[in-house]
Amino acid sequence: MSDKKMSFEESLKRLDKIVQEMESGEMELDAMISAFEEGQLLLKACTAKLNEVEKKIEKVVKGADGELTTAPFESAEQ
Amino acid sequence: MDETVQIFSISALTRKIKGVLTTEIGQVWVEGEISNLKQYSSGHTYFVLKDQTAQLNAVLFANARSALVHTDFLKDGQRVRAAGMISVFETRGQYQLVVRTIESAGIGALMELYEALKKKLRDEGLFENIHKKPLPLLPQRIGVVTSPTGAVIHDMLNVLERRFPNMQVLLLPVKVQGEGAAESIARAIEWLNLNCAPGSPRAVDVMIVGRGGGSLEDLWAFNEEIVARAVFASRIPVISAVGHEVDFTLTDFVADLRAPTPSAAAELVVLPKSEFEGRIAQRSADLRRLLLQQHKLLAQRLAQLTSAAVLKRPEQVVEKYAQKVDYLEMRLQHAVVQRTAAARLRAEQLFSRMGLVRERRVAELRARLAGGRQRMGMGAATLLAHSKGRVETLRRQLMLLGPLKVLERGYSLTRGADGALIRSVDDVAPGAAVLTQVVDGVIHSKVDKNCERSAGDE
Repeated sequence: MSDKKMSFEESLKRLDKIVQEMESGEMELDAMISAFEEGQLLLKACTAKLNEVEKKIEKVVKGADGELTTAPFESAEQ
Repeated sequence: MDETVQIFSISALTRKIKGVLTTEIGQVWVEGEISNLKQYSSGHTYFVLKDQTAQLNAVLFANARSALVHTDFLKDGQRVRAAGMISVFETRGQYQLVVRTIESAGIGALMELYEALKKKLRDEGLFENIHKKPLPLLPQRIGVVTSPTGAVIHDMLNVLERRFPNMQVLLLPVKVQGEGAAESIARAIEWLNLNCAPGSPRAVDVMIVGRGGGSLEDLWAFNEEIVARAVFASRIPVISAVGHEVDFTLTDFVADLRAPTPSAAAELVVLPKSEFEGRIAQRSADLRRLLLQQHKLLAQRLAQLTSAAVLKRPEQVVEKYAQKVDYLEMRLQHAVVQRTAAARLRAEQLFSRMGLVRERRVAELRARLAGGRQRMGMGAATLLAHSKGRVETLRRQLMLLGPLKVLERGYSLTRGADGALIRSVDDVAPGAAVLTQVVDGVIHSKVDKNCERSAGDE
C-alpha cells in the first residue's frame, strides 16, 4: 500500500491504478472509500517527494588530505 | 647580342613552364598547414599551404569544395592533406595547386581510430539496447560530470532551476579536453558509482556526462575507450551530452540515453515540476470526483428506494393485490356459473331432446300401430267382401255351368220374379213377369193367358 519505501514513480503508478479501478465503477463503496484513503496518502507522499529536497548544488573537491569531498557550488564561479 | 640565343615571349615561356610542370609533376598529394585563407563570394577558396621552410599557393574551386563532406577544418593553422594538379596561373606567373580534394590531416588519423574502436565496442555488445538502464522518473539527485568552468554547466543549472527549482545536483568537475581528459572523466564516473550508489545517503540516481560543442579533436576524450567503458560499467544511469555535433561520440553509443547538447540533457533528465504537480492535482481531483460520483449515485439509488411505492405506501400494493384477488374470484364465480348454466342447459337440451324423441317415437309407434290395425281391418273386410263376391260368382258360374251347354243348343231357362225356375205352367199366372235365360242373356217377358197343358204330356 502507501509504503514509505515506495518510490515516487511506484506511488504515481499505484495512484493511476486506483483511479482506474474507481473509474471502472465496479467498486463497492467500502472498497472505494479505502481506495480513496489510500489515494490521499499516496498523493501526500508524492507531493512531499516533490518538495522534500532542498535545492543544493554541490561539487566534488579535493580536500587537503587528497581525499575527494563535496562543497557548495555556485554557478557564477566561471 | 648572340644571334643563336632564343628569345621567348613571356606568354610562350609561361606556356612552356606550364607544360613542363603539368607533364613532369601533374597530380600530387601534399600535406601542410593552411595560412592566409581567403573565401571569395564566387565560392572559390584561396589559401597557402606551408611548412617550416616553404609555401605553395593553392586554390579550391567552388565545384570541388561542394563535393567535400567536411569543410569546417578549412581554417588558418589547420593541418591538411590535399590532392590536386600542379598548374600555372599565367596572368600572374604563379604556379599553384588546383585542389581536387582536401581533408584534415588530424581528422583522417582520428577517424580511423574512431572507426576501429567503434567496431570493437559494437562487436563486444556495448551498444546493445538490452544494456540500457531505465532513467528515474523523479531523480533525487543528479550527478553532472563536466567542466566546472564555462557556459555549459551554467546553462544546465539554469535549465534545471527553471524546470525543478529544488533539484539537487552534484557536480564532478573534470577536464573535458586535452591531455588527461579521458582519464579524468572516467574516474569521475567511477567515483560516483563508488560514493553515490543507489541506497547510499548521498545517492545520485542519474548522471549527465558531457561538454559543449567543438571539433572532433576537442571532443576526442568522449571517444576514448576508457570513458566508453566507464559509462558502460556505471550502475547509475548515464545521459551523454556532448556538443551540438551531428556525429555521435562513442560515449553517446554506450550511454543509456543520448542528448544532443548539455542543455537538452538537463531537459531530458527530469520533467518540469509543474507537470508532476499537475498530474498529482489531477489524480487528487479524480479521486474526489470519483468518490463523490459514487456517493451521489448511491444516494440517488437510496432516494429512489426510499421513495419507492412499496416502501412509501405498502397498502397500495395490498390494494392492488386485493383487487386482483377480487377480480380473480369474480372470474372464478363467473366461470362456475357459466359452467353450471351450460351444464344445465345441456342437460335440459338432452332431456328435451330425449322427451321429444320418446314422444315422437311413441307417436310414431302409435301411428304405425294404428296404421297396422287399420290396414289389418281394411284387409279383412276387403278380403271378406272379395271372398263373398268370389263365392257368389263361383256359385253362379257353377249354377250356370250345368245348363249352359243346353242353352247353347237353343234351350232356355225361365224363372219367376223370385228367380225360381218355372217348371210347370202352374208356376205362373197370367201377367206374371218371367225371366228367360238364353245362352247369351236374359229376356224379360210377361205371361198373357192361361197356359194349356200339353196332350201327351203328363
